[in-house]
Amino acid sequence: MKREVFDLLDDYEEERLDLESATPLSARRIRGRTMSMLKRKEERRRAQHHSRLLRGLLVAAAVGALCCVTALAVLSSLRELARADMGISPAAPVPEWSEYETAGREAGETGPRAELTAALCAGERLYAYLEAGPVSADVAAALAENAAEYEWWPSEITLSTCSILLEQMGYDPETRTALVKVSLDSQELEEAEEVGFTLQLRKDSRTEQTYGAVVIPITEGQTIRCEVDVPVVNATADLASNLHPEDIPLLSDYELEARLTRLSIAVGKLEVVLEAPDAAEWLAASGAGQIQGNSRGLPPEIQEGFLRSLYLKSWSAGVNEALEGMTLHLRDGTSVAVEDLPVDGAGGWSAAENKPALMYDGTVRYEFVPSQALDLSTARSVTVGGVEYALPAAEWSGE
Amino acid sequence: MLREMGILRKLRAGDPAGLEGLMEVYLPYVSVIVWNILRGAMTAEDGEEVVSDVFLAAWDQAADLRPGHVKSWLGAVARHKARNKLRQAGKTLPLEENVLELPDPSDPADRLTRAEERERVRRAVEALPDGDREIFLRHYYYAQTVREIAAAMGLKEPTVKTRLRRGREKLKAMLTKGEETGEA
Repeated sequence: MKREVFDLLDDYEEERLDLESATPLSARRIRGRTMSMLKRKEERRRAQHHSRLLRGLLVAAAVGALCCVTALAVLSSLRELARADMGISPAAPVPEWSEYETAGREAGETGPRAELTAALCAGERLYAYLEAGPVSADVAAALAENAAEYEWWPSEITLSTCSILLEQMGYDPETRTALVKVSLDSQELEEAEEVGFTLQLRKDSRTEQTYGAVVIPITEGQTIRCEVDVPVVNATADLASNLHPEDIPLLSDYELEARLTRLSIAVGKLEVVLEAPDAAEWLAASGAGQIQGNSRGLPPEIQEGFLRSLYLKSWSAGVNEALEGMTLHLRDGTSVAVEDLPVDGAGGWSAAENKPALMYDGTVRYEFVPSQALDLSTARSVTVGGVEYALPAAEWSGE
Repeated sequence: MLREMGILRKLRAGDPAGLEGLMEVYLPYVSVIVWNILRGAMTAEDGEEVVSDVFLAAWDQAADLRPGHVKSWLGAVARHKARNKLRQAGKTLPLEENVLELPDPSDPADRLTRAEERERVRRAVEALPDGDREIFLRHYYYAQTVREIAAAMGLKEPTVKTRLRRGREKLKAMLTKGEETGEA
């Protein structure tokens, strides 16, 4: 029997050691994200409380016609809950949304089973909704509250590298069936035909129940692509805001210019491409090579990683500033500001999963990821950097 | 402790100031744990997300936080969340001889319960000399590298490795049924 020493210490109560604080993590950003998530979580909790009072009525936030479900909807099934979560209109679903026939669970059925009910394929991102049962009401309640001891777990994933999150989104007490949302990111999705894994319920990190194998077909998606020209500035102050005060005097007084050259809009995200001076030029101009920050005293590869993360961070502020006020104009004559789209977490534009070789050569993709599907057929034009650009028709991937 | 009790009172009352206070005190500690586990495999932004999730878990489970044990609770949750993030990305922690081969009892009744295992791990760690225990925890609890431990404690790397081996042997002996004295 093999056991990992690290895992064996899971329950060890360690209080005595004080470690040196040496990380490149930003306390300011962590505080900002945490308090923003807390606010959102409390809003969601209040909404859930409200929906329970209304016995199954879901109040979906009105976010404009770009995200489809905007009104009160009566939820008669877990599938409808999945649609509402992703903002899918039952009457006119976006083409990237697929629904699958499920056998469902008969009352009194006891064997564990997991079935795919719906999925949204969005390039390198995939959302899938699974119905899994039986799940007892107590366990379902603990999962809904995100309690530490229980978790949904994907075992034997067929991708070699991915980021995956499983959350329980709903529960039907009559059939003891849970609705589990899968959010998965992987560059391998662009080439994959399907993703598979075995759905498990874990308690205290040990398998409590295996619900069976799930296979999610990967389908093609549409993208609107548009050339833009938006200036972005990276100056001393942008870098300084990411540093400890004692490191700021080491910086050179510099200002570098770059441009956002491409915009793409897909069902699951908006993306821009930044064409910037490469990392070597930025290093020479900024004097950042003098800075050790939190990587002081750590191995060279950590120091190199620290400088690379500073390179990206120093551009992020400028990119967010350049995209402030970006607005999508819809065919029905209305407009929606990108910052008003629903998001999980703090929102904003952040560096996408970039290929390192391109990224440090100065071609960096930034993305804005809303939490609900975007209906591309409604988009007419976009205003960014004070200029309105007409949007062409969406193209299927591979065209 | 007084400050901690004030923070806990606010957390249990659902006052966001309690969460801000908790981060004020423990954010560096949680950040170090998370980053030690994720570095080399994840970006700083990934690490920041995990640290944030640890504090949100504290908000959700404020009732579980006991005065005097907040640091260990946060440490355990930080390790758990960071390790899961790492494993979901298909990565493993680069620790020295991290896998222990333990005898699999032929009779399932001889298996240790989780409580028994927890107690034996505690006794094994507590039985180590102070210096060995610090080295063991720095590596296997906090995921510090051998080089970092050697630098922090003024030791040579081979010395650190030798003392880690002693800790593993003690732990293995303690977890092997019938060797409850813990002597390797």
